[in-house]
Amino acid sequence: MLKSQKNKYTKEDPLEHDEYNFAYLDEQTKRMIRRAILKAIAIPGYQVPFSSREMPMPYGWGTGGVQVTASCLCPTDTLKVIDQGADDTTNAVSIRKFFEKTANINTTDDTNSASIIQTRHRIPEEPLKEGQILIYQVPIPEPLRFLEPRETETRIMHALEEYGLMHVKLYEDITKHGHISTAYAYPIKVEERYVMDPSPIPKFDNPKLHNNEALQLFGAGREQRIYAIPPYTKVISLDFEDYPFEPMKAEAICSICGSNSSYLDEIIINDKGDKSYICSDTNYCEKRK
Amino acid sequence: MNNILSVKSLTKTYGHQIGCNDISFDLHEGEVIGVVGESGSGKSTLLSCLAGRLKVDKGSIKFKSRTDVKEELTEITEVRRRYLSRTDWAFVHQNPRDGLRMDISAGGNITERLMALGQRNYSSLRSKALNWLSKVEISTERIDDNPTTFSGGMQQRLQIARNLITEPRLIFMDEPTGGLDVSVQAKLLDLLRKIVIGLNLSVIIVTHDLGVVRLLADRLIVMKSGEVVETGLTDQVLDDPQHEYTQLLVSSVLQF
Amino acid sequence: MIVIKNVSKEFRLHHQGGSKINVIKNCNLEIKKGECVALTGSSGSGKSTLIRMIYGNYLYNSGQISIDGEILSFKTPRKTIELRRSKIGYVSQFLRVIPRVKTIDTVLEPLLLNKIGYKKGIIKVKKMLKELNINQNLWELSPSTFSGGEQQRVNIARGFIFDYPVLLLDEPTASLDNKNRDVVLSLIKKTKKKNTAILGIFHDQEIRKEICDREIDVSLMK
Repeated sequence: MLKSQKNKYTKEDPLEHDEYNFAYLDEQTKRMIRRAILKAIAIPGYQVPFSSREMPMPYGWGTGGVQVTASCLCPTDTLKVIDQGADDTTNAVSIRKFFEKTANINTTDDTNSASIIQTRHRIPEEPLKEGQILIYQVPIPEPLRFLEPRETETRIMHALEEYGLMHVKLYEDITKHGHISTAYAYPIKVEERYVMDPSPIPKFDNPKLHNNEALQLFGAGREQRIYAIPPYTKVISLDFEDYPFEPMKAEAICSICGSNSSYLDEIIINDKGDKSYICSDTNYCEKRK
Repeated sequence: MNNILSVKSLTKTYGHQIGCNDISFDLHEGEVIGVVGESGSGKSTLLSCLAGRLKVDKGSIKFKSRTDVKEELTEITEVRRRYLSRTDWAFVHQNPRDGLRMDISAGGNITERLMALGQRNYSSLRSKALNWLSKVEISTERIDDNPTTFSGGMQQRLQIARNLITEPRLIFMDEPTGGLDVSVQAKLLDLLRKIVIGLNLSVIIVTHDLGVVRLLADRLIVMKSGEVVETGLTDQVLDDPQHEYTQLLVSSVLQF
Repeated sequence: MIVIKNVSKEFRLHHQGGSKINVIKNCNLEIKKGECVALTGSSGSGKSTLIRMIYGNYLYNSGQISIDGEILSFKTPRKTIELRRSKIGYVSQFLRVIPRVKTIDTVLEPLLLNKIGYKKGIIKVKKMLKELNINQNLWELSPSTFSGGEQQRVNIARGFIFDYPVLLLDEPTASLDNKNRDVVLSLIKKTKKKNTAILGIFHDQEIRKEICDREIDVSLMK
């Protein structure tokens, strides 16, 4: 289901061409970002610094993800943009329109037919496949940041694999709440080396990071970092032997499609506070209806 | 010889300023050496050099590892140094805030090093934390409280527990009783004494408090202006000081 | 057992005009096994200084002191520690109390350092404390709050608990009543029979007569 069937990017379209370079960023910037991406793929989980550009949107709206997407896009690509799983929220719509306008590419809601998916805080329910690229918007790339404020120190800790502190956080969780209460941005270890923040996806999605067929890229605009999980990479969620990692979702079924296995959003449906649950992945829900 | 540490001609300067000059000594396993001297005498510089926190200009520091291999500490990599400093060494800071994570619970503070070494069983970590809390005489009910809610003496004891849980063999102490009131000092000293003897630890303790070294140290090194002016058996140096400076130091103390 | 050859000692006080005080000059002394020798001389003549030199607490400037054939030198502090652990018992005038350590553990320490097991040691310690009339309800307390006499008896217990080949006594009976003084005297006699070399300062002439084989006047060593 292709949403826009506009003209492909061609030289015969002087208006689009003159207003913006393809995908907004200039070619030098894209090359710089691509180099960072290649390095990130070569060292899975390692945060590669890059020179983040001002984008025509505020920080926190996905400037990192947008720059990575802009650098990956080819005129033949089909782009899907989701925000918390949904194709139709403001953030998703804005970014999709942004690329429709500046790159003139095809866009879609369909997970399966997209070649690049930019996402905020979710991984689509439908399994990704080889050749696809999933690009995450990342607010704070450093998993150790809240425990160790010094960037110089966290870099050394990564370099020397000193990750005891990460478990201190989980220890504190169990101590304070009786279980690991971290529900999103749950820390992972990539290819048995780097500890990484998977961006604020629910920990329900963590198992999908492991051995994924698609290339996963992470862009943090404000913090100027890019990192990656290449296809078929081992990803482990950190835990304790006696408090193992457990993906978590609401104990309910989707009131639209009846799915009992997808990640659900809670919706308050009336003034009495009654709740209903629907799939957070709108495309998945749509297809099942 | 069963030297855990051999220091030879260690020199460290800060530009033209001498930090410490041509220091040599051996530390046996199970031995406690006190380093005394006034502020600026170079004793803290010496400690920082030994613990690898400062780069040495000249000299050698040989450390005997658990596998009986002599390692030259001035030449080991940063990776190795940091590994040693969380397994074989402990550093007890004067200010417990420098050695603790103030926004992490007491239990988390104590067990961090174990987690860093790969221990992944919450219940067993917890029981080890409880065990160490009682060893350092902190009520086990306080395990989930942050150190910010602890008194200075308790914070210092917590720091010691956090440092000693991996059963290090070499302890560096920088004024461990500084900033504590006298009754709390006595308790801490007694505790340190018990632990040091009980675990057969090798210790280098830097302090200007002669009472502390009298109680803990087997041997004494007296420093002034970056140089060693006198060494010897602790009570001999304190009761029959030879060097002018040591005599001044000893006579300046009201009672100890 | 104790051999002192040509030993001299002077104190140099750097902060009092660099003045030198000659305390002992050319001291020659030998104390054999099973012998008990008293040091005499007026106050300030250097009796305690000599005892402390033999314990390694004070340095000597020239000559040589050896204990059971081993030279005691400030250059080998670890050897001094070893000699103190295994060979030299010392009862000073005052007990240097370690805060918060129980009386019973204070007395037990020399035994533990000499690898005598806790169980065996504690029986010995209790017997000794009883013998020295230290009230049983004080045993679990630190001696820091005890009276002078009680502290002195704890000190004596610590000095006599292990059978050191050499025993140095610095006025061990000074602050004791007659009853306890007699207990200490019998302890010294018993120790003597175990072939211990004893060197002591006793201000009481009667005591000297009763237990000592010879007297040496330290004020003549100048």
